[in-house]
Amino acid sequence: MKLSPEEEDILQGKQGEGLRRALKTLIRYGEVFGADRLVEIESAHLAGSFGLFLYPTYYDVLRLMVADGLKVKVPTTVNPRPIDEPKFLERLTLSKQGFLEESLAKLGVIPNYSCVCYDEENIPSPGTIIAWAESSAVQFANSALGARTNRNSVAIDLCSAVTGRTPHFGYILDENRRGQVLVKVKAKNIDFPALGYLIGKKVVNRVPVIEHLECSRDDLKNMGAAMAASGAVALFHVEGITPEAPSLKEIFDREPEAVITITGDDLDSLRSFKNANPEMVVFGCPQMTMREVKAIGECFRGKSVKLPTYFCVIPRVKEELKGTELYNDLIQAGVRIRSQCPVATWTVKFIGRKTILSNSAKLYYYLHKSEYGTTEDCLRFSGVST
Amino acid sequence: MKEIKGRGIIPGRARGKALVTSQPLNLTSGLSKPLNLFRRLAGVYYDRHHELYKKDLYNRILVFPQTIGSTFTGMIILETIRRGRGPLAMIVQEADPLLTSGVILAEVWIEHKVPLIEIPDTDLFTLIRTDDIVEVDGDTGTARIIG
Repeated sequence: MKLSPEEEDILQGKQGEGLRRALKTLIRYGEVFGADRLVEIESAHLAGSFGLFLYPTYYDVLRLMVADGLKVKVPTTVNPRPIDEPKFLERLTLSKQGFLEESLAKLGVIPNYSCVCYDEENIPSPGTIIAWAESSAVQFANSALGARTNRNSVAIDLCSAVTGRTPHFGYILDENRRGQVLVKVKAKNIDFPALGYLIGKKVVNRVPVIEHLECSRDDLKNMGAAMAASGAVALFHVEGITPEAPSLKEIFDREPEAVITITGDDLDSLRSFKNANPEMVVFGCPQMTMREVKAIGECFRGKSVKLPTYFCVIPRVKEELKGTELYNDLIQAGVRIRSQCPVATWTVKFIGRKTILSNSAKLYYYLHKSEYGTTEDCLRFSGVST
Repeated sequence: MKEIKGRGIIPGRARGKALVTSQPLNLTSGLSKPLNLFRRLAGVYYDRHHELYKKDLYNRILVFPQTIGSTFTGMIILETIRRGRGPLAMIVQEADPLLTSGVILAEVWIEHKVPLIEIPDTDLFTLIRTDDIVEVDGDTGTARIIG
């Protein structure tokens, strides 16, 4: 790998041990993938936001970086906090939360505490190189925004943030952003998270191109998050919707290497709640945007929930909601509005926890004792629609 | 004795019993469940969507296509290795960025090498069977199936 004079200096330890090891990590990482150099990034997003006692090496990395007085070199956001209202046992399990948040603050990380950083705090421009972690944010930045990032791991994200660099390989390069698999959807009603789940399972790490479908920004968010849970999708295109795929002709260099068809029955097969007995309902993984809170929240007005129902929303959105008529109506209906990460919360709260029904195929993948249903299914179990 | 040649990603040698799956692994989902909090169970794979559900990855030569899912994966591999409950070595069809990050983080930050080799062979999962004794050489990128 070709290094700049500054990078050589860093590697010799002239700017401290923290930066030396961060750069060394990125070089080793890039070498495996044949990267010819490191490139500068415009922003970073960190996924390591849970202060679980089990991550001592991650805390060593943070401690060393803070002791060296390092600061992030580019705007850097961070994933959700693990749990809003921890009880005694959860506090013990998450005993490093305080240390983690203090360290991130000292490094200059923007305390947005959301996986949907691209909603406001960290919006990359098309074509810019970034180094993000968080599988759902990676897919959104690449696919919906046309920015360029690989699927970077926790700790690698930090190395990129403090050095302002990422190795030049993978989805940074034009040739790896082309379509590989064509996806045809034959269904009347399209359940986007279920579609994403099935696509991720089938394509694993290839670049799927979905034939034109009408879909919103939030549909892309929820569909892509599922693809990055059941698979390793970093980038997908939707014909005529996402920026790099104005048409099929323009996104495929050659014939697709595979064509897959997904039917309404396939989508329906994911509604696992049919064989279970959901006892609580969770919306929002990735966290709900204001648009989603408004659309789904509308159904709760003047009603009252029959099962415990949670909205996990972007923290900023929660603040903006407070005091509004919608907020008061949601509270009145019994909706519990949180800004935590549902995966972390209900993984940690495991003793005697109820079976969850969610319209997030990502949450369904990760959480034990959880089932999947469409938004309509969830509203029905919440008791606000028939 | 069969010998398969691939590419060495992390150097070092290991010899042990293979655990083989042709399904990609979501190591974050599999190794971040409440039971993984206990050190003895730290390497047990609790992803209910997977055929390796409840199998212990500890001390095995883990053979699989690649990782999928969360970007926690690199750190999960790193910390599982640090807790002494990681696999002995890994053989994959494709060394993806998250898996690679995990073993590189272990190499750079805790100076612990878990040999990793990449063998793109489509027959990988019939050439090596679960419980075969396999020798992995991360320097040369070869896997030897002893029996």
